[in-house]
Amino acid sequence: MKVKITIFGKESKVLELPKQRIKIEELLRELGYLPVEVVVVKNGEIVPEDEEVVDGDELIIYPIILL
Amino acid sequence: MMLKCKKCNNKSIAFLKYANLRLCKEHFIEFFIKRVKRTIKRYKMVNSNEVVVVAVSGGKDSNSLLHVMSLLRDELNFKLRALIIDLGIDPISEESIKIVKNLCKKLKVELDIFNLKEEFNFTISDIAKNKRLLRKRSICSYCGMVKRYVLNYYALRNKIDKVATGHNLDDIAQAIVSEFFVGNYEQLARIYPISPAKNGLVAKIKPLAETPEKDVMIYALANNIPFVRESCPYARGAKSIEIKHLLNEFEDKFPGYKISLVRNFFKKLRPILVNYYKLEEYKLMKCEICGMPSSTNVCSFCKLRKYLGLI
Repeated sequence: MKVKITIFGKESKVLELPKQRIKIEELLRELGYLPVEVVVVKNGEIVPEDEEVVDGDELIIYPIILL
Repeated sequence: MMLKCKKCNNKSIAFLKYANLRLCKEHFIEFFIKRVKRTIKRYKMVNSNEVVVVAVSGGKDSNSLLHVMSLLRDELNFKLRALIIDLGIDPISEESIKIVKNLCKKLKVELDIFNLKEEFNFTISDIAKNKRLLRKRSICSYCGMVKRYVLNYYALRNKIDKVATGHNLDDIAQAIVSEFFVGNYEQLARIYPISPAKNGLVAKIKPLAETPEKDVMIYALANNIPFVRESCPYARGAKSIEIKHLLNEFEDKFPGYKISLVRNFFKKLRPILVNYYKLEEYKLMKCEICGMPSSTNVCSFCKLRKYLGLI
């Protein structure tokens, strides 16, 4: 599946994942983020990290601290 | 499967692991405001008819604080103003002021802009360029000191009762751990959600002291509160941010760890330290140059101005 990811204030990229669905929490960890350090907006809505991502979803990741 | 709000069964926007609580947008906002109100009341932060100024930076924390304080001002009966210090940091200062101006207009809050260059003839960027100064302390340390001085200077000049800052639970947890690790226990004892007006210092309050930083971000996004996209260019790699990250690694493994740390510190350890260092009796001198409160003959702000060749 393909997921568009934007880091707030930074670049956007389209990720191709070898899965049909994935929990946001799992995706965040794969991207190197701690779920407790970000807020995720999926398709325009704030979502909890145990929500799933499917093909075509667009995510904006808002890091709460900038390392 | 839709993940439902614990209170109304609507779609949830947040799962607060530390409280095992799943909330929709409406109930998250209600929960957030209630907690800030509880903090204000618990620490007796605001009295009737007082003038409270929120020190805003344009970031998510202080902008969200201004938003929630604007919702509470009638119920708690205080007068609300906002202050932004133009620190002269390119390019974020300009953007911050623009965002804060729009927010204040929307919230109907009177805004003052304190221009550091116009008032004291230097900017934070001037300090950042001065290698000799940076050998003495970090740029973030200078910036913090300058902001504390200006807030006090402004508040005394404008008869402000309370200065509210956007420090959240994560900031406080980080400060506790940082001071503890370096053995600065007298400074550790001073960490508290309120510091009363004393020794020529204006009273300061931290209404977000019991609110985790992540919740502040959710609140800002849920209310469409604008905030600056960029972080301070000088703060990158700061030790305080690294410590916050380490605390978040603990929080990730043990949800509720930060709240527990801060709560237990205030309740159990701090009273012992306050008593040991006799903080209640602590007196400050007056700076020989500017007359503002100082722990030494000349305050750090005037020392800085001397180094910069301004006095």
